Amino acid sequence: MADTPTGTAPAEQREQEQAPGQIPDVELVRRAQQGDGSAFAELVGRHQRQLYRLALRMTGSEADAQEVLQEAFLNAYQKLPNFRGEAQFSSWLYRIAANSALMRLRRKRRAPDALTDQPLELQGPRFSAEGYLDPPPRSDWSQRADEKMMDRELGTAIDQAVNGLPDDYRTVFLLKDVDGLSNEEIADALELTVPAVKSRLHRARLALREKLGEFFGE
Amino acid sequence: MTNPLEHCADCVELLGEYIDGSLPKERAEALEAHLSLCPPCITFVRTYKATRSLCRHQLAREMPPELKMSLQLFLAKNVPGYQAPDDGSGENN
Repeated sequence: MADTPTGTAPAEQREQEQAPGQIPDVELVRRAQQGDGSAFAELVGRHQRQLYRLALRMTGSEADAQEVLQEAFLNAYQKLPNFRGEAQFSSWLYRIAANSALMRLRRKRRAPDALTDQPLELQGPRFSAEGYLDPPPRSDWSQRADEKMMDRELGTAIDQAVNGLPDDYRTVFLLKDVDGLSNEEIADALELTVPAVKSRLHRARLALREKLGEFFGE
Repeated sequence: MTNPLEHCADCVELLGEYIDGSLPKERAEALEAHLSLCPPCITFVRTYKATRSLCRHQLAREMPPELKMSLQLFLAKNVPGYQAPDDGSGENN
């Protein structure tokens, strides 16, 4: 076998997950529904990082992410009596935050100065009529990637490549590959199917690989 | 012995699920059989994975402490009985 899968999101990124011995979310929600403000504070502490990442990736702005976070947690508190536990609390919370971020984006897009050029169509590898890579990769730049990690030019190339992705693809890519949310969490938050999340993620990775290949002279 | 995927295009199409570990075993084995015969695809897989790790390294963001603080202040003002931890960070696990 030539290579192995690397698994899903790294464990260190799944920080909102419940640690052993911790009070389960469902119990904290029950206490918060009975008016226990410290239980709600515990839920906030447990989920704020992932919610921040979701808000930041969707809005692309630190200031907007801050407002989305405030709005989302306040909304969640106000809607808590209606939470019946049919979905996971984290999924329910992501949905609230995603809605808040979407509303904010829609308001901004109505403003004339928020209009931007549409990104180019996503590019991926090319294949011959027989289905072979054509051209094949010219070099294995993955071996040079580690030593280039701190390279400023590479950083700029990555920023440009990621910013050049269409919004829907960029958000899925960032949430999954950078922030470590699961496909299911992303699907819940963005109201997509899991196959749609997987498809956007793969297309985004292929397009970014092409761009980085250009940087490394592939 | 599993029959390898015939074309690089099939290999590339399945790569996302393969890397994420969600490709069914039989398909993963067919993909690996293709990789064992196709050096260009091995290079493609390696650079596909490197793309992910480079982007993660460049783009990872932590929640800034001042944002944690302002969120705690906001909730303390707007949620009855809200009790932030003593350090004001909201971190309690």
